[in-house]
Parts: sequence; structure tokens; C-alpha cells
Amino acid sequence: MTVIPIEELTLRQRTAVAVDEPRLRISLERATDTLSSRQSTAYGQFADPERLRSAARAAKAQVLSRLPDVLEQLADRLEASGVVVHWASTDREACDVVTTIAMERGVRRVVKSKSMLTEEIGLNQALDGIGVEVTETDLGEWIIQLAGETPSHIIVPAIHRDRAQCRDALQTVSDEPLGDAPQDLAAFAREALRSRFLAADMGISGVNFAVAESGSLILVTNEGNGRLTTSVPPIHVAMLGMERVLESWDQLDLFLALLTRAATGQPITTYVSAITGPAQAEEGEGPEEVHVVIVDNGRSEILGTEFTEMLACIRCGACLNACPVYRVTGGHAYGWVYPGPMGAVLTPLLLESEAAGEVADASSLCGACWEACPVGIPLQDMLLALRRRQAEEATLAERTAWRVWAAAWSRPSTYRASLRTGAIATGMFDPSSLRGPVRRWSDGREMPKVPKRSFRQQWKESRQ
Amino acid sequence: MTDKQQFLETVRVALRDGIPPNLLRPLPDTPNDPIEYTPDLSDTLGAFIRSAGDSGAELVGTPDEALDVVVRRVLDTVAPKVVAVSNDPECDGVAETLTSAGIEISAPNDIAATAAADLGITGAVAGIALTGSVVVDAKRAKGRLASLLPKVHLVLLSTRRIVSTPGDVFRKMDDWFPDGLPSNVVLITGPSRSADIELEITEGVHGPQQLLIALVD
Repeated sequence: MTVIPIEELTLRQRTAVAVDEPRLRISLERATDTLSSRQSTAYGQFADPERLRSAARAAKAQVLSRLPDVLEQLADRLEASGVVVHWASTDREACDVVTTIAMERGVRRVVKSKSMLTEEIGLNQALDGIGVEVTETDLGEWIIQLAGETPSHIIVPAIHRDRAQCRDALQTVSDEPLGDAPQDLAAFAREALRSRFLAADMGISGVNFAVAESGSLILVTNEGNGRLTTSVPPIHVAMLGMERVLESWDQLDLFLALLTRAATGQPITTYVSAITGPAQAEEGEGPEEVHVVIVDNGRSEILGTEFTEMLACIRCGACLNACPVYRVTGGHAYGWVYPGPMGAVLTPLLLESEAAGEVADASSLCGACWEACPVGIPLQDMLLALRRRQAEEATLAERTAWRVWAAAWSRPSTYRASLRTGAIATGMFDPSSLRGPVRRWSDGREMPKVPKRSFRQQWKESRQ
Repeated sequence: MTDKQQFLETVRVALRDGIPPNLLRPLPDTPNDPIEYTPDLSDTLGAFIRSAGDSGAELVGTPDEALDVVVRRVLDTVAPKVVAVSNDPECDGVAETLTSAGIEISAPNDIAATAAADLGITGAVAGIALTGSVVVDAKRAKGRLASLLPKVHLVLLSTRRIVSTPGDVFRKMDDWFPDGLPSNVVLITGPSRSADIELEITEGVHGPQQLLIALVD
């Protein structure tokens, strides 16, 4: 299954494509079940998980309420440790910062560790545009890069592919025929990517958390590609969404404990790296140059609104695994980089287009996302608020139509008339015949089947 | 291009009226106290050994044995041609053991040489009982690749450096790093792993395939 661009098909059409993939449904069900049950087991190590969730929600709200000061402190500490700090208001600016560094330093080969922010801003395409070769080094991310896809889960990017489909993607860069055992595929990736790490001029990573009090960047990984990306090439560029900052190491302790357990059910991931500046003279190894790009790209428009708490999201993916919609459709049906309930909230807020607004409908409002969220973001309240906002912004034509309908159905005589008209009209009406702006609304919607004789008529007849 | 002042001004303007109250689900004011865990960590060493084992690390030596006996045993199993050794104090004497066993030591601060090593040996600044993690400090080790590039990583951990929880490290960073933070501190828990294909755990995808821990005094 390839990416379905949000502007080309409607939510309903994208969903239809997704549910039509039998292998996808099997992969998804197995993976989301496993991840959800691992989360509950891992929470068993907490004496009071609810209290931690509540502390995390409180801490994030505190950080967000004083975000300018915290960011300023972070930037000061980063600079004091020798990091070059860049500020980017938009996706375009963020990409420009990185391509400029690449061009100035004559960078030709880049290795990347998984970063949803770079997916959001389209960094790979921007680097590709200046002729830089980019290799994704997270195993799942490399598989989908080779397949020309985007991630369908924020933690397990190739969750929608089974082992044979993963093998097929890796086969495109292997001279030898590959088997489909995950252990063998991982061994192949280690071998094939090791030389790329050693040859890379620049490593690009995301950041899970930035700790303002010391100017440290925290990277949470399992494979070790994050460590290689930030340790082997001479230049490290870290992409940081401005909301991913924490004030203190005390807060990091709390958020790390929640993140790894919520994401994969691990008490801790294999590697948790804290990077503070470029390599120091007596250390000998490590990058000579570290850049941090602090990215806004729509986040400041969420800050201070009723959706502010969405900026507390730590990208663990727990809401995806819990969501009855995601579990059936997978991530691609959401149409952009962030899937599941967190994506259904973020996509309309960050993209601000009509097609993006529709993504808020991809939810049953059951609240499973909220229960699963390690920082207690009331996701279902936000989804409802987004739908309300969408309704308020609906076109005049749509609102007028609903008003006429409401008026007609409020009086018995016009109600009866409308039923008769409806029965005749639906038989003649084909929504796909509509043109213009109305067409956008009608696409993906089906006319209800109105019976030839209404219930009222049938009732009357049966009593005769 | 946006500069710092413009960027921060936009954020300040957004927060002009603060964060609107959530009437339905008011924000809590729960304090961020040290985390209470359910596993019994009173026997710190025992808990560390158990958690490290759960994470897939192998315990290869205890403080009762001489370090060179432990190192020689590891050399017998791993059979390395080239070994990378860090400058952590726990590694004192390791180079002599390697040389007398006729094993080459990779040149320090040489990425290609370290990448070609079959075994990396480092010390650790701390061990964490709850998770079985070891904490490796780039300044103390004078480098960061010996724990990363070779297929096998042997870490020498002093039993006196084992604490109960990650919070005992994170919430006391100033005590652990009184001279400021090194450019790289890494908590390592078990061998490198991936679950990216059908969530099946595979080991050694980019980092070491095996993590060996020798407890020293």
C-alpha cells in the first residue's frame, strides 16, 4: 500500500483502500495488540501510574505556560556547550537551515535516525533537491524509504508490512537473494548500513526531549542507529520541535519512565543518549560540530488555544495502538505524517486545510486514546472540539441546506411532503454528478437508500 | 530567516492570555516526586543482576575473581583479533592482559580501527538496578565508540556504583558529573535490538549484538 495524499482522496476513500488490504489488517491487529498489552505490563512497575500521568500532565502544562523562557534558557545552555542554535518558523525555513549547512560544508552523504519532525517538514525531499544522498538508518524507516512509502506508525514505521514485504524492500539494494527471517534481514541492514555510517558527512537526528537546565538533547533508541548517527559523522544536526523541551532532569526522569513503557512496554530502551555539545578535546571521539534547529511550524498557533495540551504529546504511539479506528485502517489512511488519535488532532491544527480538517472525523470518540496517553491529553475532547469548529466553518450553502431541512422536518405537513420528494429524488440523484465546491463535499458520501413507501405509509396500509 | 527574538516573540504573543482553563478536565497540580516502583530493590546488587539478565545482558564475572581471569575467559569465548579499550579507570590493567594474550588493541580515536574491532571494553560510571542499565560517560572513557561499534561490548561495572532507579542518576546529575556534563552520556540496557519487522525482537542491528557485564570491586 502506498501513501495516499490527503489532497487527492477523501478520508472515506483512503479508509476504503486501507480496509481492503487483508494483510494490513492482520499485521495491524497483531502489532497493536502486542504493543497495548506490553504497555499495561510495563505500567505494573509503577506503584501509582495514575499519579505519574497526572504529574506529567501538570509538568507539561507548566513548561508550556513559560515556554519562551524555557526555550531561551535551552538556547543559552546549548550555545554555552558549543552548539549552534537555529530558529525556524516554518517547514520551509527549517529545511533551508539544513540545506544551507550541507551546502556550506560540502556535504554529499547524510545518515538519518528516525524523526517524525523531519517527515513533517519534508527534509529528505529538500536534501534530495540539492543532490545530497540521504539514508534512513532505523531498520523500519529504511525499509519504507526503499519502498517509497511514509511511516504508518510513529514508533514502528513499517508496521503495515509483513516480513515478506519487508524483505522485498530490502532486496532492492541487495545483490544476494535475501530470506525473510527478521534476524537475517537485520543482519543484512547492519552490514549494508555500517559502511554508509562510516562514509557519511553529516548525521541528522530528531530529539525526544531537550533538557533546558543543561542544554542536553535526549535520544531514546533501541537499535543503536541514533548513537551512530550522532557519534560517527563529523557534523550532527538535531531537529527539535519547540514543544519537546523540558525544564529539568527531574522532569526527564518522569517523562522517560512514561515514554518507554507507553511506547514499547520497555522499562527503558536499549540506549538513552544525553548529548551536551560537540565532542570535547579530551574525549577524542564524536562530532566536531553540533547544530540544533528549533522548529515552530504551526506550533505557536496551537499554543494559548483550547488545543494547547496537544503540545504535551511525547510521540509514544500509545493512542494509535489503543484506537479502534487506527487498528483497522492503519496510518496511511490518515493522509499525513501523524496517524491515529494524536494525528487526527495534530493534522487539522498543523495543516489548516479543509481536507486536513476531515481527519478529525476518524475517531469513534470512545476515549481509549485518552486512557492510553501517558501524559493524559484529553484527545477525544479535542477531536470533538475540532468537529465543532469544522461545523462552524462549514460553507453557507451547507448551513442553509441544513436550516431548510430542520424547518421542513419541524412541521408534520412539510415533513410528509419531504419524504415523498426524498423517495423520488434519491432515485434520480447521483452525487457524483455534482460539480464545483459541492462536489468536494459529496465525494466519498453516499446517498441513503430511501424506501419507496415511507414508514408512515406502510403503517397506514397495515392498519387498513 | 527567523531570528531568535522574532521566534520567541511569536511564542510570547501566543501566550499573551496564558493557557485557557480546561473546565471539563482541569489541569492537575500533582508534584513531580521521585517515582515509586513496585519491584523490590532493597538488594540493589541482586536486583541489578536480575534486571540486566532480563534485558539480555550476560553476566560474565564477579568481584571475587581477578580481572585478568575474567578478561581471559571473555577472550576465550569471543576469540577477538582486535579489541578496543576505553580509558575508564575500571579498564586499568586490561591492555596488559590483552597484550600478553597476543591480541591487538585498536588505535584510540580511530573510527575505522574501532569499527574493525571484534570486542569493545569499557567501564561504567553507574549501574541501575531497576532496569539493569549501565551508564557510560564519554569524558571518563575518553571516547564513545568502544561501546558502540564492535559486535561485542564488555562493560566493567563497580558494584559500589550501582543505584536503585534511573531517578538516582537523573535527579542527581550534578553529583554524578560535578565538572559538568560530557558531550555524551549513554544508558545502555542489553544488546542492540530492533522489533521493526513484525515486532519480532532481533539483536545486534546496529550496536553490539552482545552486552557482557563483569562486576568488579
